[in-house]
Amino acid sequence: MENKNMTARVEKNGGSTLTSPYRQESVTVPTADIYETPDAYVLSLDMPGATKEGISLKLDKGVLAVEASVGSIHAESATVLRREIRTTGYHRAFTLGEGIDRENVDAKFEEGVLTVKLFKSPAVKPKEIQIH
Amino acid sequence: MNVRFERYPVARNAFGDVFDFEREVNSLFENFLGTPWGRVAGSGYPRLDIAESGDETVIAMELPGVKKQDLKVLVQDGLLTVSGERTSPALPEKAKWIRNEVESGSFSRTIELPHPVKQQEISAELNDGILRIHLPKAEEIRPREIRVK
Repeated sequence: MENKNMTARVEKNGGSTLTSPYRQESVTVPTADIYETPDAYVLSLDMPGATKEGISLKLDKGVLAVEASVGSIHAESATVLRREIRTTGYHRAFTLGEGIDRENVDAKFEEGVLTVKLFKSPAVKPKEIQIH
Repeated sequence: MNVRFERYPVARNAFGDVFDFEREVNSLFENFLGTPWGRVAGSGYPRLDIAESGDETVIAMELPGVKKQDLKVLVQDGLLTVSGERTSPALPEKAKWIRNEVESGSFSRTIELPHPVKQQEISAELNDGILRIHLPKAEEIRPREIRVK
């Protein structure tokens, strides 16, 4: 059973794949940058080949999950002579701490990079106290 | 091999990677045992594909976060060189890194052209982080059907 799966995968990907046989699913883990500002967290994920329409971004039970499919890179009639680019799609998930305003999340996809801005809820934002 | 991992670890820190542990264990297995069909077909950075169809060869290259104006494609002496720079956006004031995995800086990769090309008709486009370079085959190597008289 296990062997059958592997064979099918090899054929589909033209004989070269990064897929580990120890993983059930074959996905690419996008590299991520995350920084924190006084009022938000900003994530950026490298997802070349993904499209805006093919990205799913979900915030559920304190986990932010990003999934994206990758369209075909070459014309159907073309013969691929060398394949290094993976087209298995992307998946990565992050646990979020407390204090994120779920209703206030911004996301954009440019140049193959997904940028997500998660604003902090007012309760955890640093606040300067005025002295009267 | 039947190893199961907890999908959502109990201890949660802010922006912890949900699958970090699983990945680490997997990479231990891979490094130790090797993958059955080798790592990557060819190796180099940035990663590229070469695909051939009747009249042209297309080179596709992964270049996330690279702007058109920071990219240079050069064809010379039967070689194709793609070079450029990925500039990392400056960290805003009062911001601090939580994770910094994305690499920036300059890159260059050179490959031998698979066949003679029509230099004047080479074109390239950059979309969603993928650069595609179209290399039209030179007239003399295009497939040609010979009509029988």
